[in-house]
Amino acid sequence: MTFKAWLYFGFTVVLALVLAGLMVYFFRSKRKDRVESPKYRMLEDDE
Amino acid sequence: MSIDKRPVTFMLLAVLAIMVGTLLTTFIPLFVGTVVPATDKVVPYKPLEVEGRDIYIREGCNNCHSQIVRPLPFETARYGPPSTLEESAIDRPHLWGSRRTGPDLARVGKKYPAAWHYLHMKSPQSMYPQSNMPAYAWLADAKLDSRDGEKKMKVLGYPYTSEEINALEGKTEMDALVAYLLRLGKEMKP
Amino acid sequence: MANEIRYEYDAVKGFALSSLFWAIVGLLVGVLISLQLVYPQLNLTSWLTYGRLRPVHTNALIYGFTVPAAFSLFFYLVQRLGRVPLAYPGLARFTLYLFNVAIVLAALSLFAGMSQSKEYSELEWPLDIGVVILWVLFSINIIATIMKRKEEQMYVSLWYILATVVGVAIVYIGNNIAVPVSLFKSYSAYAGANDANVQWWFGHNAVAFVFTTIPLAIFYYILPKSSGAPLYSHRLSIVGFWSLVFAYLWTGAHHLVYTPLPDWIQTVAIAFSIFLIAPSWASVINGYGTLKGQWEQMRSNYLVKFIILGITFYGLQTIQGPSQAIRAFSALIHYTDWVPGHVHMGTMGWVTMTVSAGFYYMLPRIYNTELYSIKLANLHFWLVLVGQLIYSVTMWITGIRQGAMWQAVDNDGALVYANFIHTLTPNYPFWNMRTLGGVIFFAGFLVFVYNILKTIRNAPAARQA
Repeated sequence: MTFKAWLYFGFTVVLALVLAGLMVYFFRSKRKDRVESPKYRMLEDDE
Repeated sequence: MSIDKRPVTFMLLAVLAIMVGTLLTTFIPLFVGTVVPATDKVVPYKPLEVEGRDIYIREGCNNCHSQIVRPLPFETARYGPPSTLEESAIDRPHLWGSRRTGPDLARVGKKYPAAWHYLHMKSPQSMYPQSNMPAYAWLADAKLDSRDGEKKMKVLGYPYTSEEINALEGKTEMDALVAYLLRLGKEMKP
Repeated sequence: MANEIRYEYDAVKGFALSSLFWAIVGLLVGVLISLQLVYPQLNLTSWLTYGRLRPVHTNALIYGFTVPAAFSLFFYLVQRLGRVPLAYPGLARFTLYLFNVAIVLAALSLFAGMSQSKEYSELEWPLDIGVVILWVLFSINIIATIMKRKEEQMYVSLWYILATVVGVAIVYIGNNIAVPVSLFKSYSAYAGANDANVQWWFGHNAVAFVFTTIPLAIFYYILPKSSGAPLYSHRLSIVGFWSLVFAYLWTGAHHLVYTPLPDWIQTVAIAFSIFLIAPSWASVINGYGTLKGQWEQMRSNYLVKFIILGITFYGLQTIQGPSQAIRAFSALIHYTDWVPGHVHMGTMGWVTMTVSAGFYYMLPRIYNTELYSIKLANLHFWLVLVGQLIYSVTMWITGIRQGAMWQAVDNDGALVYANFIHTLTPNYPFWNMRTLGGVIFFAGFLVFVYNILKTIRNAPAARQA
């Protein structure tokens, strides 16, 4: 493969890893409550 | 690391995410050779053609007409050779367009003589009864306002002679528009 | 405790009413230009020709309807989600005043033919500066209010608001760099293929940061609040948000498929357009998931069906878009009616449905009253839905048909429809159907405005909300 093709491939792999990292980080069970909590607090309102 | 508690950090990260795609697909190509074609082979616009192009823009002709021939067999059969990077190299702004309510005009300068354009612009329906193009007869009565004629050439960086600038006097807006239409398709030096 | 926080709603009300007014202007022009495409004699004078009116239609509905609706709803959202009053109410009122002056000047300049010719960015350079100033004033209020919020952790709607603030600023300024010749005329700083590339980098990201992040911010607030059900998955919206904001910026060149723009830019744009299905559908799944076990509300809660139809059209839009970016399909439909068909499913379907839901939820609350008539709201819903579907379906039909006619060659390779006019005239009956769809949609919108005005008139005299 040409250098440019490797560049494309490398960039795609980096993107995939970043996306995977984001998902693992936010979907890990121990972080679930902290990350999900805003959706409950936004419902309690001084309506 | 909880950026959802720090708005400023959050915005900086959003800007960063935005700038990656921006730089790689839009900003860098501004300077890289692939999208900066050589302009020495392109015929510069004459002052009258520049005025005509501005009228084309003022009347919003690009809302119904494109100026781009795609490298597809049915397009080249209809409109001629595919458009190249060089042909629009000095166009500021570009007028490639995104809709074809009317036909593509990238090579219309080679297709019809001036007389055809004068008649067609005056009354499209007289030539194509079912055409939905507005009639621009009033352009023939409008005197060309060429006060900025010279300044336009300077801003655009096109060469010009004072005779060409003076020749703008007395021209109508129709003369300018037709001069521009006649250029379409003849951008490249032979 | 209810009224302990004195929220500031003057600018919220002002921008809501301004957006409804300019929406009517934009829709009226839309119906007129739709008729002009079949009856050219309706191009009455120079400043009422289609060429000048089409930019009035697009600018009036982007900068005259969607942007002030966003100002209104965002000034409300940042206060409610932060549990703090607006940072600078005086500045907000001034922004409202400046906005209406700018939009009038913008409309007049477009009628007069002052145009940079770049779609959705036609305004000449003095007005561009006005738009930037307006955006800065809006952003000051948004950011200052968020900075002094009481609710420390920002809910997803605030992310989309912040993305809108920075996104619109970057793409609007980037695309409007121009060299002035006079007060009324300027030339783009870029040339040819680069100018086209920058234009559609802006064009598609105006779609991203005006027609996507704005309704998403509204959707993520209104659906839980109006249905009472918590959002399905806040984590899903985190991943969806970041991949959306990152990926959108690559996709502009799918407007330039098969043009002389280098192939690698086109291919990257097509690839990321397809990738964008995932983050877009993260929001759609969040919408449907939130109503799990609550779908009965589609019948009992008039507001919920606006939001669910809105997010459904968003789902359809973000599948149709990527599919038409692919070269094989783009070759058929590019430059045809298919594209306005796609655009209007997004604007009439997704954007106006979600903004309407936002106003239906917010306005009765900030005027401290009840909605005038739920029956009228339902009438508005069905008229807008039917009008939109008629509009888009007819455009897809004519788009495919005309695209195919342009391609038709007989067995020895000659064009069957060599004369362009023969591919145009068969559109006219469909375009009359499109006008009908537009008129039905417009009637629905008028019902909506009437309902809102009656709600406001019935509101008790200026009691602090």
